[in-house]
Amino acid sequence: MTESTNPGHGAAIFADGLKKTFRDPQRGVVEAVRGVDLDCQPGEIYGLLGPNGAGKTTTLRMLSTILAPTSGRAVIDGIDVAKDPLEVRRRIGFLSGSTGLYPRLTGRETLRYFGKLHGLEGDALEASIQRAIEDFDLSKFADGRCETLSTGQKQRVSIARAVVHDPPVLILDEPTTGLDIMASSDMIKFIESRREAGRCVLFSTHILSEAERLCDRIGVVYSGRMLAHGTLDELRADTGKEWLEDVFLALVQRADAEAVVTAAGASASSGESDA
Amino acid sequence: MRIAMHVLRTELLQLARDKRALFSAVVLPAILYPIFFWGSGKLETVGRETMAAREVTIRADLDSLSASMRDELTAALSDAGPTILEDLNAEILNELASAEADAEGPSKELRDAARALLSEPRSDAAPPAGGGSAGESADAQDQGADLLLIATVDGEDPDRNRASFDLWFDVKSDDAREARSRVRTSLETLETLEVERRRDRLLGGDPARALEAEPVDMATVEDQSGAALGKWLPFIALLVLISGGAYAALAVFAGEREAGTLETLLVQPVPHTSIATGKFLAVFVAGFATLVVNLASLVACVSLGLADMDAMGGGEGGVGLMRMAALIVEVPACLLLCAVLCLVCGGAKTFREGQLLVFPVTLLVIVPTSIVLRPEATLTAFWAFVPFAGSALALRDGLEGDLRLSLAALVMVTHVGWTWLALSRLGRVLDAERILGGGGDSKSEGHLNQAAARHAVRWGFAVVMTVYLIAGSVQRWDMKLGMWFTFWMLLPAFALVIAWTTPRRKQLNEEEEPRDLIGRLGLRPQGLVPLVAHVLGALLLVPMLARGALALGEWQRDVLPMPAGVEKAMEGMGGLLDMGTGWLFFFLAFSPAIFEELVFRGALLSAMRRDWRWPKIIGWQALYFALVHASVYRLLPTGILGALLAGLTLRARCVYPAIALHMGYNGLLVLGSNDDGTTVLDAGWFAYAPYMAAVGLGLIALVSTRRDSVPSSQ
Repeated sequence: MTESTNPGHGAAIFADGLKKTFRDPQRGVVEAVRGVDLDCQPGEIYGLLGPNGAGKTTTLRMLSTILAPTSGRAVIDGIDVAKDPLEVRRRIGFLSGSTGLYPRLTGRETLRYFGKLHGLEGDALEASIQRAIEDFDLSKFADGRCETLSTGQKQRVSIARAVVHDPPVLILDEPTTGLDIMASSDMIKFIESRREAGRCVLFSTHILSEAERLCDRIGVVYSGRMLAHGTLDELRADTGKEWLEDVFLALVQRADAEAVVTAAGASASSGESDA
Repeated sequence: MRIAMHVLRTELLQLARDKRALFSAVVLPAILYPIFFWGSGKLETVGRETMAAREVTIRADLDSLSASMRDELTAALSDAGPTILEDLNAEILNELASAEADAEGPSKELRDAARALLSEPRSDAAPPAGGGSAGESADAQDQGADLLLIATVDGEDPDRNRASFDLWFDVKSDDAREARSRVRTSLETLETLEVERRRDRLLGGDPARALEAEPVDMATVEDQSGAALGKWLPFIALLVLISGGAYAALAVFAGEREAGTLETLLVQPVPHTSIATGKFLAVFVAGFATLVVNLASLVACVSLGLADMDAMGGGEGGVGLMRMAALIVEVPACLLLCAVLCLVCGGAKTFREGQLLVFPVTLLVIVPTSIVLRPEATLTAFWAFVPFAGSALALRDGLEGDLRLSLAALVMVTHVGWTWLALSRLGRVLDAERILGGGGDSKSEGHLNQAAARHAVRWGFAVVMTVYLIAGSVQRWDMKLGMWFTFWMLLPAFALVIAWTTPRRKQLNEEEEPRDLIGRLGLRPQGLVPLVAHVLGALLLVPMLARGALALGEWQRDVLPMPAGVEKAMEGMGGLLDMGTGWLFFFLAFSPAIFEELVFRGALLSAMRRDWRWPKIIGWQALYFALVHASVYRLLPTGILGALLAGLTLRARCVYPAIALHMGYNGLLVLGSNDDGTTVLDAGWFAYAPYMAAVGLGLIALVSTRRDSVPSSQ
């Protein structure tokens, strides 16, 4: 079977030319994502690195079927997000930028609610809840309402909620933002544990040290474009820089310079046609 | 359905754990009605008893009365309650009063003289006429009197003279009001006795006995109570449902959206329609539970005798269970209302925006429900189709015992149908593109605050209420002055303030854009050619619009007949018709066209256009323009006109075409009537109105305007 008929064969996450354009009442038509390609294998941690407003969140939202791509294609665990979004949702665990917890439900009730939405019932549901409670060490506060939990405890319940159905693919949007050192450390350990379990993890971040430590491969996103992607060594070789921060800045400066040249060329050709 | 039930259970669990919601929706109504009825009843009784036992002092000059009449008055006052009656020499007061006989009211001198007589300490008090104690009399000696009573008689003939009584008192004093009440009661008794006496002396009998009417009310006590209940129960039912359902709808839609939990929910492997259905059912259960608790508390108060149904116009009896069963026809209306609340709150991006949107829903429910207040409106197949109006009429008829089962069934079926339509849209409300505003990061979601649109909604409400309460009062007092005030003071001020205070968006350099008053009022045209084309197009639409308005008016007269009094008042226009054609055009066409357009299509629409798409803008414009005209009979035509004017302004991107259309439309309808009963629409050239409209629409459609400049993407 060729790649054109079965794109992303074997990849847990595959995206080809993913674009998202939306109409903003204030700013008119906005191109949030302008053609992102990526593939992420099972047992791999892939980091999307970029500044605020780069298009990371929109990309993750398209991959998790919340937003429909304007063009391009995305496949999760062999399922096309546009053709069978419900099946894709069964195979992913998604953690949004906010913890997304119901304040008046307990941690256990939250896990039960989302487990049921994933079709778990009876003993299987209770076993999944118990496993999540043990994995994330929630037993001390699993029966307390979420509104009474600390930020770190909320984040742990939130992750447990995202993986209660043990999905093969995990999509996390800036999972350590707003967490203290202990909670961040727990999160990093959890992501590493997923790799060991053979799961695929795609996460966005703008914290370079985090990406450097965790990621098998990194994609640098800027102004809705994927500037470069590969292992850290490949990115170093591409830019000739040692530290990831320098690598990132070199890629961004190169993109800005190219944009200036393109804009000047367009302006010159417009002037010629006017003349 | 399994998923919907699961969502329903979880939502209800959360709502039940919200102590504030539970208290306001269930606990408060359960205890409020008994406390209110018991407390108000108790207060009334105590107040009545206290006033009846209170001793009042009346200084009376009754010398001009006959001895018998004087005795009868004294006895009547004694029967009315403990009263001290003192002699008064009112010579000074009578002299002053006769000198001011032609004046419109008592002069300050006269008032001071009366006050001096009232405040004189008692020196020689008579014993209390009604048996007040000696101690009480001693206290009263230092306080002066509560009322001066001065009698005068014109003529000597005891059968033909007329006794007049002047009562001087200070209404601010409770004792003075009680004294006035007792004197009035006593004088009424005296009058009855005197009339009977004179009739017997002069006529030897009662001439009124030649014709005697004995009305017999066929309505049972239950009918009377049902008729009274039918006038307010439809309102109470829906308003209570809104009070309970709105909070639930806000919590499960707008609140979740704001907290970010909706995004998490939408990534679960379940259809969005199942989630929407579960949430809708939660809203309905919460709203209906509030309604049931309220009604149960109300019924309990009536049953226990805490609520005085007689005082509410309901008669001494209640309404039987069979008639109360008519409340069943209200259930589909409750379903529809909850679906509308879900739609509105589902569209809101924040809890606060949702709260803002609940107010128009309340208005939209109250307006059709108010049909029950019109006695001539009866439940027909047409009304059965009108949301909330049909159910309200059915409930009223049911409580009166006149409900036809076939019409009740039709009302229920149509309301279920409307609910189904609303629910089919509800699934789309949970569309993630709308919820997330398309963008990704938090910065690009900044516009979700919709500051300009919220500004427009708030100010629109302020305009409607100010015109309704203040301008309306001035117009009722003096129509011409009211017109000047409304159009040349109030509306221009509103237009300027709204445009000046509209929040400005940030530019790419993070600075606020310059304040553009001309642009915000819609006064900057997009070039001469588009301006001329749109104004011409608008004017060509006027004849067809006028024909449409007359046809709409005729149809409306069939389904919602206008009472003769209202029709006469509207035709008379508060005396404006007497001012001549020029003034009439100035007040009814020129002024409203300019200033209503500057406010609604200028300042408000400019702000709305910043944040909203055209369907929402047109909807709000229609709503506010209909409400500002403050008449249930003009609601539909003004709403349609508001929508058309908004659409035209959005297309032309300036307010001039709307001014032209508004002025032409008002001018034609107001001035188009001839003395011979014909209208300008009867003129031959009006046959070409559809062709003129087609040309006008063509001009508007073909000549395009510039789009707003689009900033470069991120």
